Amino acid sequence: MADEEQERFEDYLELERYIADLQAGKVARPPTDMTPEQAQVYQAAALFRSADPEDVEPSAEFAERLKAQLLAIQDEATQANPAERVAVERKNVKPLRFFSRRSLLAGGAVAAAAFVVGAGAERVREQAQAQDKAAVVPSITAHLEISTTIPTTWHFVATLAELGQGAVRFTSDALIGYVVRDSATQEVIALSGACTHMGCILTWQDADRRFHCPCHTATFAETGTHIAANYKYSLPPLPRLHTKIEAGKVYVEVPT
Amino acid sequence: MNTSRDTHERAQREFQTVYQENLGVIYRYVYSKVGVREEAEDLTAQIFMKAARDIDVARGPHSMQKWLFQVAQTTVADYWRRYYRTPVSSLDALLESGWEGPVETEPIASLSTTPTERVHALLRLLPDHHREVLTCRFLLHLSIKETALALNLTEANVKVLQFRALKRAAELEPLVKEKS
Repeated sequence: MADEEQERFEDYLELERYIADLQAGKVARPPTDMTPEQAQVYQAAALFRSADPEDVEPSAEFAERLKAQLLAIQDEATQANPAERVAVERKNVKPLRFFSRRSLLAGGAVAAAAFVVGAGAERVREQAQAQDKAAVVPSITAHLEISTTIPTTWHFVATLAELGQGAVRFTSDALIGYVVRDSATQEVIALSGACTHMGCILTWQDADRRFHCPCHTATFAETGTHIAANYKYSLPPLPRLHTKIEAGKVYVEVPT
Repeated sequence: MNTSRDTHERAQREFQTVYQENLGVIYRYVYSKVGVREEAEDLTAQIFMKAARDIDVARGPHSMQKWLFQVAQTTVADYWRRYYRTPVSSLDALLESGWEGPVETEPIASLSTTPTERVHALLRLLPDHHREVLTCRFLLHLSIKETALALNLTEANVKVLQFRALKRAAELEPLVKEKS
């Protein structure tokens, strides 16, 4: 058996903090930098916490949401020729939302990864069959749709000249993000700058035209898609924000 | 005619069945490993989404279920590994830091014991003072202060005791699995 580790007073305090968070139903984070033995103590705490009958079953709401997402993934997979992408009209579509609860960045902004699934997949498939073309796959883009009851404003980010071919970060009360020109389509788009893993603010690198996460090395393409190579998880794409260009100036829609 | 599209569609239907039948088990398993609803939901979603994307890897509902459990185990292990001291890229570094080697794949049966059952089994194996403090804190939801009063200890003692009790429980956990 391994030698008994020196127990430090901080160990008891840190553990108590973790247990208190668990009991309060908050997202409890173990300390980083644990040895496997320490980790076992925290895992045991998690196990004991989970003996409480509350929360031990998945909520119906969660189950439905996940089911819808899985069906969307399966729909995407059945489209032939996933290499082609087309902008999909989303008229008469009921958006399905999956809100990541990762939240709270420095400065009080909230990362809302609103995940709107383009349920126009059916329609596109019909269209493609009718036109006898290779079926096209709408990429699952996520748009932040701010509730219609919330007043919003157009927040000035940069002029087109300043934007050039790069990306410009903007900061507002509720959102931190980037305006970037999609080099493939030349379209100017705006994205939430919060990594959809844990909410850390991404940095843009001109060299590879990608967003990089300073916390866990995730990378996202300029269009917001997560680049999954060499990364343990698949992350949702960065939510797109609504933009407008007026008199050569780029604005992004944010809550007032 | 049995096209590859037919096979694919059948695999998808089977996956949907596997989802219905296993959501509860997977969620409960993940929840017993992380102790927080939100984290459990996020990880459960990741597990099923990964499985859904790799759907053709598995053939038939039984192997799909096995695949799902494997994904669940690695996802949970990854979650905890993030908090470890050593970067986990090298197996040697891990072994050096005291890790005793890969956890054996849990038999699928133990994934269906509820967390409550496992906790009660562990409590029965613990010495009295450890059992009492964990019962107070986790089953009765007593605060540190209340536990101290109930057990006639100082608050500081309670914090030390709960640490040691959980540590002991962690050491005993493999025994519980063997018994069930």
